[in-house]
Amino acid sequence: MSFQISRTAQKWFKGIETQAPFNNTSTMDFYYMCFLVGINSGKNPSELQDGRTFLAAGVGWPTSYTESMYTIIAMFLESEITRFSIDRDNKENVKEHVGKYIDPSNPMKLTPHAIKIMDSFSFAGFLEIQQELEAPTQVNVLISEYSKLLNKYIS
Amino acid sequence: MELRILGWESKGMRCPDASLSFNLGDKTDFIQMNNGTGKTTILILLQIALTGIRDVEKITEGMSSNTDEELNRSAHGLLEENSDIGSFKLHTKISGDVYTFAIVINRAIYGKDAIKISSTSPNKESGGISINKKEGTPTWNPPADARVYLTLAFVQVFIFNGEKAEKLFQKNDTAKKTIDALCQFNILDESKNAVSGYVDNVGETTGTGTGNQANETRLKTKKEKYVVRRKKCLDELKDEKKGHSEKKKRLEKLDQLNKEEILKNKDRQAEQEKYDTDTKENDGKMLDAQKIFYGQLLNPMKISNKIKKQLVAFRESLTKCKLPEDVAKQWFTELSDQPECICGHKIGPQEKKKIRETAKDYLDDRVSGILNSIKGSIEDYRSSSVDKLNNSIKSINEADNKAQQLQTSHSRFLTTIGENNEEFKLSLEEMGVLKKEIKDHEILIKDYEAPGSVEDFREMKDPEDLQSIKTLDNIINKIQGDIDSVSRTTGLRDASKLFIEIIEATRTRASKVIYENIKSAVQKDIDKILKDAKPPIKIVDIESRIKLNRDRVSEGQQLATAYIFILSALKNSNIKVPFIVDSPCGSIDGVKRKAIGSSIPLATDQFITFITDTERANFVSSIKNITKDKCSFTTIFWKGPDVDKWIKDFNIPQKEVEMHDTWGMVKGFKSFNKYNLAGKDE
Repeated sequence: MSFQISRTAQKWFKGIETQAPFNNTSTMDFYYMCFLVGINSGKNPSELQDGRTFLAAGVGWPTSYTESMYTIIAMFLESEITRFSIDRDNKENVKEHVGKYIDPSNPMKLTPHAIKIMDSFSFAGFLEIQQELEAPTQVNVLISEYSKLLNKYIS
Repeated sequence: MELRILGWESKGMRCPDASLSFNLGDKTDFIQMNNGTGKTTILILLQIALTGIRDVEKITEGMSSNTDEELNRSAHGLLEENSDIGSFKLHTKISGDVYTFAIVINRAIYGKDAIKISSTSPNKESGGISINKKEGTPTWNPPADARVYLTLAFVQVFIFNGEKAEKLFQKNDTAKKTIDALCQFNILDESKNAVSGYVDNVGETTGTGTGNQANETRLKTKKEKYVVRRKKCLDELKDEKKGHSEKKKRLEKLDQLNKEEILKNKDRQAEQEKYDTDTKENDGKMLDAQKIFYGQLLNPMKISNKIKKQLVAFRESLTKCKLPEDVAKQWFTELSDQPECICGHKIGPQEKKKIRETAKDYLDDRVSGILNSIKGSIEDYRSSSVDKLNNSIKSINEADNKAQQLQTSHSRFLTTIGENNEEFKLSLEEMGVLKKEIKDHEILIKDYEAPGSVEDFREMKDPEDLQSIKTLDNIINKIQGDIDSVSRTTGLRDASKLFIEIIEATRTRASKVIYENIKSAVQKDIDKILKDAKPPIKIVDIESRIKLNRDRVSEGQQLATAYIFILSALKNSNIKVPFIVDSPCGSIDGVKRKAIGSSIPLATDQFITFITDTERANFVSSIKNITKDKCSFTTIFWKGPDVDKWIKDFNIPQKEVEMHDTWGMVKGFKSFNKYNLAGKDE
């Protein structure tokens, strides 16, 4: 099982998908940008509609993400600990939580349950982006507007 | 396949709770039981055990005639009146391996579920054990080479009721079914069904239905639509590429001409060079800023101090909880497989169980590895400072503004040249149009060259809605695979038809030869055993029933003919099974009893017969004689004053008698031969 992005989201980003720096792993980049907004906005994950798998089966994270994939997973696990008010000092609770999300046999290192929640956060983030920004045609404009939106939640 | 009955044990059934065992060296086992002592129950239980069929009515149908009102047609009818649970174990030897078939009947359960049957073998490699996954208990599962023979039709051939011999002479195909069962023609029928089933299954699993021509045509038509669309897309891609290439060349040419025009004037040349240098420098700055932004965004530890603080806190939580632990699940699992613990204590089954239970509380070592990687990644960036996203955005915006300024100033510069040069002005306008058209071409080319879409492929989207040539290729390949499957299914169906024709022809030819052989052998024995019959008995036909030249034969002649027929058929079979007969003599007279008694041991290695004292004369002595006393004798009776008197009168040694609450059993020929209580039990 791998990540899924909504077709609507993919279409929304179409205007800049060939432009640097998104010309190598554009769909994963858009997925991740939406995920960052979704997970940091404090919004509830929205069940993905019209999703499509965009990474090749069994391959795992794109090369440009391999260096940071563990910190992305950590950010996700931390966010879920907060969302479910898990006692961080209780070893068994933390271990059980980790067990639900990590699957070493999956190339993504995540369980299907975890991937589904990440997809939902990414979709929630997209809905937020779509509401706040115009569909991009220029990378510079998108980056500028996107960072303003993200900064609202992370500063 | 060789089947031998080693004995049986019965408890709580509608027959004595007896335990019988037969010697491997004996050729005949006589069991003397009068009517009413549970023979029919034992015969039904033997058939349930050997066939695995729990439907008592189905079994008794094959045994009964119109006069069999006393037969028990339900599972509960096989239980002793006061028993809630009954058991019957049949011990056998099948092709060298010992097998026990166990039946348990529960009065609390109704229908055929009241009966549970299992088969077990001490030799695990013999494949006689199958476990019921739901209940974890063994099920009826004799070895495969025996299983094909243990059908009800076949078992009812070698478990034969002499009183029902007339069935072979009636118009009900019993004789034909007997030969078919003995020659295992049912295997040919099963082969035909299996082949047809396989072809249907292939059609079903490949979604190719019956594999007919119409299906194939439908798929080919479908494929053609995608092929046509693919060709159209390829043509369009070619046109797009051609247009893109031509327009790019034109743009380059116009750009070159314009540059030449600009270079005609030194001031213009200097301004153009400055514009080129500034643009190049600004593009570099823009790209660098974008890369920094992109790099920051990819690593949450670099995005903001807030996120970094959260991640560091997460790492500390893991450390505080001592996660991952120093040992992983695998350590305990591996330890449990060792003969002794690291402390030197032996690890027995209890310890092994405890260690394996403990293992469940620990993380898999690969999960531990991931947690370590997570902690390591956070630690790696813990001390580095976070450049705010704003900084890179500021650089991007500055570069963007600069680019706009450069563009505006350059446009003005070009417009100024165009004011006095119409050709230059037109070429500028054309270049603007060309740039837009080139971009449109690039978008379309990207769509045509897009990688295959899994979803579009899965949905088999309408060809007109598809643009990705790769997706079209994938769909075309899939449909071609389906076409190949249909063609294969069609080919398989044709082959299966041919196979069935061959099987049927084989059966027709083989049965003709076998019937003729059996008919001739039966006639030969009739001529010998029933030589006194007047007029002589001749076999007319055995294809559906035993048809004789005479409409009327005596009961004894009929039973003798039935034996001769079954024994001949058994001789023609290449398997060895016991011949189990209830009431072997019936109304056969003394001379014929002798002849039949002498014939049976020649056709089978194990003859088990339930006999009454009135049937002994001539029959038992002839079998003892032909088998050179390789016989066992068991007499089973209900207890009563007559039995006590019989034991006393005939001086039966007490040590030979096994007495129970309601029944008794005595072994040996002397007591067997002295038993004279026929009818007393009934």
